[in-house]
Formats: sequence, C-alpha cells, structure tokens
Amino acid sequence: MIDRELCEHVFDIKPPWHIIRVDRDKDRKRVDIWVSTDSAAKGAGGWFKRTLPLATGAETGVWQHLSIGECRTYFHARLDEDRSVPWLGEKSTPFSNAMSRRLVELLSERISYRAACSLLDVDFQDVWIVKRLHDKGDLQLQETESLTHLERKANIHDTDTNATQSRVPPVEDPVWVQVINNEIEIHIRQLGLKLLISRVRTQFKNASDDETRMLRINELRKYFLKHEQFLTHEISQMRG
Amino acid sequence: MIISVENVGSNKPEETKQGLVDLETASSLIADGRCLSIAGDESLLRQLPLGNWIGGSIPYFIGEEGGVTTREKLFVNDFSRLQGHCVIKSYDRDQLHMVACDAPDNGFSLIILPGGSEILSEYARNAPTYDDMFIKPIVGWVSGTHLDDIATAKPKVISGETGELWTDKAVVMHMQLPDSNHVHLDIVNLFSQGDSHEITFPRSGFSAGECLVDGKPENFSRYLMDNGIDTRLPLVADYSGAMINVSIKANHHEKEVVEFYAPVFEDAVYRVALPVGDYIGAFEAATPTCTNSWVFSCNCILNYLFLELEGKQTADITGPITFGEIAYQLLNQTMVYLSVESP
Repeated sequence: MIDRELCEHVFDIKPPWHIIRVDRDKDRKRVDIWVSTDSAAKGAGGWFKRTLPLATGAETGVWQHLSIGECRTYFHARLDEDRSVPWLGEKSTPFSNAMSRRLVELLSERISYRAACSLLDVDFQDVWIVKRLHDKGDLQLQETESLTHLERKANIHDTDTNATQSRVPPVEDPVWVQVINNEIEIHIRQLGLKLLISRVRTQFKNASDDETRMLRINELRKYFLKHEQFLTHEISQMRG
Repeated sequence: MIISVENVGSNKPEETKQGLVDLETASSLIADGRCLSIAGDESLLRQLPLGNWIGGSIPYFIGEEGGVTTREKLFVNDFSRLQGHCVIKSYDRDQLHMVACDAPDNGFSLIILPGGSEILSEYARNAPTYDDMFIKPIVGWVSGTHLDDIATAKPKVISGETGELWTDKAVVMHMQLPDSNHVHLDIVNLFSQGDSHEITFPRSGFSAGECLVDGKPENFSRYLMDNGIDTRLPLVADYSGAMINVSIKANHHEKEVVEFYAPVFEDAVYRVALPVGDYIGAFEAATPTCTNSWVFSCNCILNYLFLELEGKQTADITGPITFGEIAYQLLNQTMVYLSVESP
C-alpha cells in the first residue's frame, strides 16, 4: 500500500489536482498513479479502488516521471486536462515535463546517452523520441532556466579549456549566435562542420526556448573543441 | 595499391591497402588476421571464412583497370596497416541511433546498410539528428545487387565475425586509432546547383508531390515534366558549402508523385543540378591526389550508369560502386573518401 498523502507530498500534487488511484507492481518495480482535476472522479472511484479511474470516453495519456527509489513512476491523466504540471507531459512524449527537462539538462551537460538512461532509469527509445521532438522545437520545456544561468554553468566547463589556452571562443561569446544566424559568414573546410552547422542553424531557428538554443551552441562548440587543431582557418575568421 | 597473394603473411602490412581480389586471396587475408571491409557478390561473401571483417553485396567496382562488373571478385579494403583497434557491431532499427555515440573518440566508423531496407530509410531520414553525428567520422555505403537480379535478390550486409547475413540490419566496423592519427572524411561531388528555380518541400521524405517553386505552390512531378528536366540530374542542396545531392528514382506522372533515392528534407532549399559534361576530366580536376593515406572510397551506381564509367578509370580512385554513399549521412551520386594521416 502506498499512502496517498505521502504521494501528494512527494510529488507536490495540490488542488485542483488529486490522486484518484495508485497501483504498485512489486515484481516490475513500477508505480502507476492516476490523477485528475475532476472532483467527481475522486468520489466515483474512491481511493485505491480498482474502478474506472478516469471519465469514460476521455482520451488518456501516460508519462514516465522521476522514479521513487528503485520504482519507475508513471502518471496517468486525461489529455483534455491542463498538463503544465511537472508530473504530466505533452501528448507526443513518453516522459513527464520534469523528466523531459531533467533529460535535456543532462544531455546539455554532455552526459552520454547511456549515462542519462542509467541515471534516470529510462529506455533508450524513449530518450530518442524526446530528443527528436526537442531538436525539432516541438517540445516546450517547462520552467526553463535563464540563459544567464546556463551561461554561468557553461563557464564552469570553460575553466579547463582556458587552462589549456584554447582559441575556441567561450560559450557566452556572441560570435556563436552570429555564426549560427549567418550574421558572420565563415568559410568552412571540413565536411563534418558544414553539415553540423547547417543542422544547428535549422534547430536554432526552430528552438522555442533559451535552453535549447544553448544546447545547440554547446554542440557546435563541442565540434570546435574536439577538432580545434584542424580548424585554425575557421577559428581565425570567428575571432576577426 | 592492389592487394596480392604475396603480401599475405609477409609482415608488411604497409604494402597492402585496397583492391579487387579473388576469393582465395580474400580468404587468405582473413586467415592472416587482417581487419577488412569486403564488397562483392553475395555468393562469394557466403564462402569467406569467419574473421575480422564486415561486408556488403555488390558486383560493381572501380578497379585499377577502371569500372568493372564482376561476380567473380571481391573488393577488399585492408585497415590493418593503421594499427588500430577495431570492434564489429550490428545494429537493428531501434539501436541505430547509437551508432555515432559508439564511434571511437579518435578513428572512424565504417557502416554498411542494406539497399532498399527499412533500416536504410531510418538512417537516411534521421542520421543527421543522431547524437554525436558529424562530431566523429562515419563513412560507408549501401549494399546492392546486380541490376539483372534487382527483382529477385535482396541486398545484404554481413558480419565476418559471425558469418550472419542481414537484409534488415546495419553492420559497422568501429576503428579506434592512435591519438596521433588524423582522420579526414570528404566527398567529391561534381554536381552543383543550377541557375533554375528554388525548390522546397513541405515535408521530409523519399517521395514528394507538393512543393514550392520560387515560393509558389506547384506539383513537383508536373514541374519536372513541364520544364523538360533530365531526371538523371539530381536535386542539389547547399549545406553551408557542401553540395548534397538527392537523386530522382522515378517520376510517377499519373500519381503526380516523384520518388527519390534519398529523402528530401523540409528545411533544405534545392535546385536541379547543372549537367556535367566531361565527367572523367571534371572528376580528375576535383579529386585530391590519391596518396597512401587514402583508406577507403566508394562511388555511386548512378554515376557508373549515367556517366558510363564501365571500363573507365577515375583519377586512380578505386572502390565499390554502391547503391548509396555515406559520409555521415546518406548521399547520392557522390564519391566519398576517407584518409588517415599519421605522423
């Protein structure tokens, strides 16, 4: 038995939202939680009773949220509810808003796919779906951090780079945005960089939030850092 | 340099590189522990012993004597001289997005995808968005069949480690090289954007009907017909200076739909290519000198057919003639080459 009040406390579920049912599968280490803003659903279903949890005929969704200990946690809700809460997500995504955001944060910190899956206990395939949506600008991240804060985080990464006297501009240098927006035209010799920068330009244009744009800048900069010794021609154009 | 039987077991790996060989020589190279990429007819690939190699089916090649169609020989690229560490992996459709993540930090990954397959479609559509794509070199090709067998045989790929053949998986050789080595992956594309109209597509995909021509709605099938466009010429998009082709497979006038050999992308701006007059001359002018550092190259079956390369040499460049080329992403009508510079 999982205590409803404990669940509401752990996940910060507040009125008008309420839990209408919780299932725990010990063998699969999985907890499923049904939530609704419909007070009638609470009365009709009753706590933890295995009656129909959500209004008949309404389309429902399920989203994987941050785990409770070793248990994967899945939230269920009607799709016609306002889902701008951390534990629900967009219709096309397998993850809750909070999980999607955490995932994107980890990837922007250059955590590998495998490590992110392991840390969050999520499946590769689901990560891939979210990444694609995010890259296309079809995923609106909730509670996005400010660019300034991200820049501060990025500066921490730069400490090592500065120590090795890299000629690659720091991530907060406006030249990255200028290059991506084609405000500074640079002649590129490397095929990989030509293709990457084309993709980044499209993704940057489609990005709906600063966090996504910063992710793209970091990705482009990662190429420069990795191949710096062969990019003197390109870097010298960026540095004017 | 052509691989010869005399090189096998000679402890002179620097003398072996790539070339057309018979089944016996290829088998000897495998038995010698070489790290190989092998292209050839499926019947020959099936007879090769297990070892450190990957392969794909194709009977078309550019050998030292020029373009050739043969079911009797195999084209072998020997990577042993690079003294790297190679790992062979196969990927199904759900795993393929990890290919660039699995690629070595310094080195390259050689991928072979079966022609006409779902996994090729997945790669063609989505490889540009894979994690770590473009950061690490991924080169490769699409396997095929003899054009006479196209209705009856399926293109295959094979892992030499296990002898398994697949029509629905990609096989990849990840080659980790010493840090002092520098890998360079590039293309030679003789096609450039013509002066004709700007063409964009509302959706990415292997076929299209609707399009915008200079911003005006149009049907692409009708556009090709009305303008008398030679469909042997690819569409060309400019990716920050890299000219990337999409070749036209068929124009289905009755359905008003055009099929492509690679997907068109909704964000790209295409123009029909300018014709290439003297392909051999232009190829030689555009191709960097083939040096000992070249370790792999391949060219497209459409170039082989449309430009009649059978029996002709192309700037000393040899390799399989393929149903699609990979330089990070799927390409059409393009020569791809990989070189490794070591100190």
